[in-house]
Amino acid sequence: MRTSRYIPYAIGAVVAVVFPFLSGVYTQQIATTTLLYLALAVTWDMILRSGQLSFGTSGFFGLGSYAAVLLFLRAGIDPLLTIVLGGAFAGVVALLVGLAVLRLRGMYFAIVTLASASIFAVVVRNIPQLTGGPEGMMLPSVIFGGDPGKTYWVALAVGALAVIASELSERSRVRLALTSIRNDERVAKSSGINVFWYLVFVFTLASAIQGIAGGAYAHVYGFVSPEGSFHLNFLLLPLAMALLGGIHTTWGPVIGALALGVLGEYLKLQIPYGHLLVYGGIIVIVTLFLPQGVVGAFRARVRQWQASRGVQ
Amino acid sequence: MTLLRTAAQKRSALVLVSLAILVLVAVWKPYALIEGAQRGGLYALIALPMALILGIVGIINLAHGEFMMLGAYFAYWMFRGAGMDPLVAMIPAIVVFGLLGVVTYTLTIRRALKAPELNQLLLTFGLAMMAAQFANLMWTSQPFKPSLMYVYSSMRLGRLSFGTYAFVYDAAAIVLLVGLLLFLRKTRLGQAALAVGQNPRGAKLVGIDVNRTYLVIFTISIALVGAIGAMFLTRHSVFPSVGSPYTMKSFCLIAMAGIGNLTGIVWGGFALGVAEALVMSFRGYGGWADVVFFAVLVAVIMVRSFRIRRQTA
Amino acid sequence: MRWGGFAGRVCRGRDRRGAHSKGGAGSMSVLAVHSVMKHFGGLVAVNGVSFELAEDEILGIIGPNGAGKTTLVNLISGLYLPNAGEILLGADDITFAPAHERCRLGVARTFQLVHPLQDLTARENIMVGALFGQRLPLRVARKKADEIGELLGLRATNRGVSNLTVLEVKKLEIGRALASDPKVLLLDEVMAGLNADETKAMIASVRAIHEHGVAVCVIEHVMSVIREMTDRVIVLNGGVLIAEGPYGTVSADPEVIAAYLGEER
Repeated sequence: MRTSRYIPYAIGAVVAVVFPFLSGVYTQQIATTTLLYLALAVTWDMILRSGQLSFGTSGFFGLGSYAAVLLFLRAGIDPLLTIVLGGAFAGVVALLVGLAVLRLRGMYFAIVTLASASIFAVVVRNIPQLTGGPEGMMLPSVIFGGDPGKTYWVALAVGALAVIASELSERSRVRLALTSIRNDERVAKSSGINVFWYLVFVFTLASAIQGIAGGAYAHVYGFVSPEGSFHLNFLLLPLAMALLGGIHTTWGPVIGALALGVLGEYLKLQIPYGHLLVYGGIIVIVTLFLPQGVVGAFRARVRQWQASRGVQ
Repeated sequence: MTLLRTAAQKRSALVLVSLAILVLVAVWKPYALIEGAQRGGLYALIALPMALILGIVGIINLAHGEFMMLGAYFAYWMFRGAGMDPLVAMIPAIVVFGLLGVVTYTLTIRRALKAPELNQLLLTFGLAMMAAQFANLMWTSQPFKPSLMYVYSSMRLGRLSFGTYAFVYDAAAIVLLVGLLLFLRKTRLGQAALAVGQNPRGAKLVGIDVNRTYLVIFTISIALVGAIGAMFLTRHSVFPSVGSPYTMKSFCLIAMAGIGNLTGIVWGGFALGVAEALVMSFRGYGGWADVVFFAVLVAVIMVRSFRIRRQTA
Repeated sequence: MRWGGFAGRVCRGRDRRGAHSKGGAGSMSVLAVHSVMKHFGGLVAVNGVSFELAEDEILGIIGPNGAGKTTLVNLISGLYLPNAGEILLGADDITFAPAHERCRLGVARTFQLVHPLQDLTARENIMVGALFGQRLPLRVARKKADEIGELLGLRATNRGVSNLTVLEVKKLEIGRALASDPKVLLLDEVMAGLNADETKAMIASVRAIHEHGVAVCVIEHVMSVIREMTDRVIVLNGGVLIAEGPYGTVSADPEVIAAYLGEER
C-alpha cells in the first residue's frame, strides 16, 4: 500500500515537531544547532551530487547571517523575513560566483569556493560603517526573546526546507540530470542536458538555503562577526556529517548530522578543542575507507544479505 | 587586436607592458614596489613546492599551507628549546618533514590516487583540518614569534629607507626555482618525474616506477615546505590558521602561470605581491589587499573558460 | 514485429528552439555539412569536409585511424565547435549550437568508448535521453524507456549497469540515443567488441531503427559491416574527404586503398 511507506516520515515529523515538549532547554539548544548544521550538510551534498565540490558553506552561511542582521537592524524588517531575505542575498552572490566559475569546475571551483569564505569575511571587515567591522554587530534581542522551543522550530523549519529541497530533487528528473552530469558530462550534454545551467541552479539553490541557515543562526545567537559568522566550523562539521552519513542521498547527511550533533556534544566535554580534530579525522577516514559513509555501507550490506537470501 | 598574432609577439607585448607598469610603480609608489617584491618572493617560494605536486602527482595539496605552518611551529620550538635560529632549523626541518611526507603519502595519499579528483580534494582538506586543529589543541591560537635582530636590517637608497631582510625570500625563491628546474631537466629522477607528470601510463610502460616517483616528489615537496615554514617564522608569527591563505594564494599563482610553468610562478608571485602592496599603500584600503588574489583567480578562471568556450560548445 | 507502434511514437513533434532557420536546403537532406574545418593548435583534424545525409539513407564513414572520423562526429553532435564551415540540420543552422540543444533538435550519438552512467539503473540510462532529449514527463519517459529496452532486447532494466555484457552496454547506448527521438543517429564504432552473431543482431537493429525514420551515420572499421549496412560511404584520410559513393565503388578506389595501406576485408 502506497501510504504505508510514508508512515515513518509522518512519525518522524510529529516527533520532530513536538520535541520541545519532550525535552529540556539544553537538549533543545543542541537540537537547534544540529538542525542548522543538518541543513548545511544536506545542501552541501546536493551540490556534490552534481559532481562538484563546494567549500563555500561557511561563506554563504555567513553572508546570510550578515544580510539578515543588517536588514533587521538597518531596515527594521521582521526577523523571520530577514532570514529568508538573507538566504536570497546569499543565493544571488552564489549565482554570480557560479556563473563566473562553473565553466571550469573541478579543483578551480573547489578552491574558489574555499577562498570565498575568507574573502567575504575580508569584505565585511572592511566596510565598518555598514557591518560594524572587525567587532561585528550585536542584536538588541534574539529572536522570540530566546524562547528555546520557538527557536527550535525555526531551526526545524530550516532543516525541513533543506530536506524537502533535497528530496524534491531526488524524486524528480533533477536527480537523473545531476547523476548523469556527475557520471559523464559528455554523455549528459549529448543527451540534451544543459550541464552548465543545472550546475549553476543547484549551486545557487543550495547556497541560498545555506544563507537561510546563517540568517537563522544569527538571530538565534544575536551576534555576527567576521571571524564567527564565516568560521571554518560551518564547513568542517557539515562535511564530516555528510561524509559520515553517506553522500549522494538526503538521509545520509541527515543521519550524519544527528549522529555528530549528539556525538559532538559528548566529544566537546571529553576533549575540549579536540573534537574538531576528530571531525577532520572523520573526513580523512571516510574518504579513504568508507566512501559510501555509514549509511551507504549499511545499505550495501543489506543488499548483499538480500542477494544471498535470493530476494529480488 | 589583430596585431598580436604569434605567441612570441604576445610575449614581447606582455613584457613591455609589465616593464612600463614596473617603472610607473617605482616612480609613483616606490615602497609598494619594494614591499611588493618581498611579499611576492615569499608567495613564489611557498607556491613552488605545491606546483611540483600538482604538476607531477596531479593532485592539489590543500594541506600545503598547514604543512608550512607546522614547519614554522617546529622551528619555533627548536628556537625555544635549543636556542636554534630558525634559518638553521631549516636543515633538521627538511629531515623531519621529509619523514612526515613519506608517512603522509604512504598512509593516505597513495590510496587516493586512483580515486576521483573530488576524493583527493576532500582528503587533503581533511588533512589540513586535522593539522590546524592539532596545532590549536597543542599550542592554542596564540601567535608565536621569535625575536631576531637581523630581520630589522635596513638600507638607504637615496630618499628611500627600507628593510632588506625580506629579500631573502626572493633570493630563496630564485634559488629554489633554479634548483627545481635543474633537478627536473638534468637529473634522471627529475626527468622521470616530468615524464610521469605528462603521461603516467606511458611512463610506466617505459619502466619508470610511477609510485616511487610520486612518493619522492611528494616527500620533496613536504620537506621543502617544512623548511620554508622555518624561514617564514623569522619574519611572521605562527598560529594554527596562518597557513591556509598561503594555500589559496599558491593555487592562484599556479593557475595564473599554468600548471607546469615554474618560472611563471615566480613572475606571478612578484606581480601579485606588488599588486597587494599597491592596494595597501592607499590609506584606508589596506584591508582589501587580500581580495586581490581572489580577483586575480576569478579573472584567470573566466579568461580560461572563455577560451575553452570558443573551442567547445 | 513490435516496431509498428514504436514508429508512431518515434515520429513526434520536435523542439525547434534556439537554432536559426535558413531557406530550404537540399530537399531530402536531413544533415548537411559544408566545408567544416577543425584544428587543435597546429594540428588540423578535419579539413574542409563536406557531405550531406539524406533522410532515407544509412551513411558509412570510414578511414584509417586518426583520419578525423570521431572529430567529425563530435563537430556534428556539438562537443566541438568548428573553426570554419557550417552544419545544417534540415533547415536549422546548428553550427554553433550547444550540444544539448542539438540533441533536442534531433542529433543523437553514441560514443566509441562506452561507459554507461554507472549510478543509474539501465532503465534510467535510457530515460535520460527521453527526459532531456525530448522533454517528456517522468512517467511517460519511464514507459518509453521500457519500450525501447524491450525492443532492443534488454532485460531487467531495473538493475544497475555494472554487470552488463558488452552487447548490452552497446544496446544501452543506442537506447539512450533513440530515446531522445532523433532525426539523425551517429554511431561511433558500435560494432567494436561484438562477435559475429552479435554483430548480425546489431545490424538488424540498426536497420530497423532506420526503417522508421531515423537517418543513420555509422563510423566503422569492420568493412563487412559497412558493405552490408550502408547505402553510401564517405572516406576520410588525414582530415580530408577523399572519396564518396557506394561501398563497391569506394573500396575499389586506389586512393582509398592506398590510405588503408592495402588493408582489405
